[in-house]
Amino acid sequence: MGRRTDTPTYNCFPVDAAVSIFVNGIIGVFAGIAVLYVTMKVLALTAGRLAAGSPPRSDKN
Amino acid sequence: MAFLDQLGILAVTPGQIVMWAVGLTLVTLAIRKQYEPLLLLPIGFGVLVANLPLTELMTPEEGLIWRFYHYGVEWEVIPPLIFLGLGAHTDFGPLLSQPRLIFLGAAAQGGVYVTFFAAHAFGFTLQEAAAIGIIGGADGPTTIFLAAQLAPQLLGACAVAAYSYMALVPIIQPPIMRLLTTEQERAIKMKKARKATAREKLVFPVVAAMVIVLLVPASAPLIVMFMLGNLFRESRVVDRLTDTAQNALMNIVTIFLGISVGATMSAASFLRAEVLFIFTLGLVAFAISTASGVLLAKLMNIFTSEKINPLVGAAGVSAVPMAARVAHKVGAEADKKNYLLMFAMGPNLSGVIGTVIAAGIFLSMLQ
Repeated sequence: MGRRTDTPTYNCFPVDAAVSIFVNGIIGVFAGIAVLYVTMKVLALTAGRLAAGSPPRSDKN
Repeated sequence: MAFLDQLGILAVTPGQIVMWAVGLTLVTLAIRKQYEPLLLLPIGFGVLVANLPLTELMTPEEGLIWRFYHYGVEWEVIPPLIFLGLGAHTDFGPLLSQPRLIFLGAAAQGGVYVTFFAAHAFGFTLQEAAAIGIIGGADGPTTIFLAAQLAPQLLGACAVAAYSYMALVPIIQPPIMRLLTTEQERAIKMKKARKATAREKLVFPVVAAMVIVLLVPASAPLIVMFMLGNLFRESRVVDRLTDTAQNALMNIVTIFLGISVGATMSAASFLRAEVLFIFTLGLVAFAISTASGVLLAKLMNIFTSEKINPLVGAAGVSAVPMAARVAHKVGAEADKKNYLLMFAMGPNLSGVIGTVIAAGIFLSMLQ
């Protein structure tokens, strides 16, 4: 039977873990933001277009 | 002499006296200099009273402020409620009208990860390094949210560092912005963008919450509440809820957050050399985040015909709306007719989202 441990795996190779978090973190943030960028572009193409003949909307807030 | 044993004044330690000075300094800065007074005032008072002997305010299971801290911060209730209020205050229009500026908010997380790496190299655990690195995001509630879960022993120091640097944005950022840009670049006038429609603003919080949570589930508590607050605002059918989230609720939770965080700063936990180190690393994180936002804007200018004023990249650190105002002010020094505020609000808002994503990634990898 394998020994159960509560020690996080990252504590075994801390430098590797730090590099992994560093790389994954930066890639993750840019990936998340990139997906949001695409989402906003799609929104601009769909919801961003005013219906023909409708007056431009102004914000109350 | 039981009465004498209960006299607090006889139990005062030198460390507590130093912490009184720290607490009073924060209170003074909040009142006289108006440095983030909504937070630094209750934090300073919390520091002061938590270091009065024999009060047991922070005694686990018994103390009054411990209960605020335990149920509010440790249970992850208060930071998401602050985000609800922030969402209700936020207009995503400037970001929706210029989607490309969202990348500047991602770039400004560079300081978070560089400092995380540096802090770990200097001997902090991965969890502590993450709590220190997130200071570079210049987002107080996110810093508190992450530190409370990964490194509660550093919560007070990280929170005070984050709010202090947020207050000092007009002092810290301009020299970095001037150093990395030419006069000509600072004077770049950005092309006026189209105006986002009401429908776009209405759909965005729903879609953004789904997209971000599907990608980084650990960021859900903050991003969900942020987008819910924004949906309240943009739906325009729940004015009472919007008003409550923006004002009454936000003010109430700010009181509990401030005094709870301040009270975690006991002499024993705060008067350590590593706290000074945390403040230094936090400043480094903030500076790198500012620089990386500016540098990405310059990089984008190489590939695009519509030029971006690199100063708006510095607004990619959260610190809403202070960082955007600073970008505008530094731009106006180069050209008085250059109105950068609305352009800078885009990266400023994406910085909030970027910091939440960064915190979520830390949580998912370290918790």
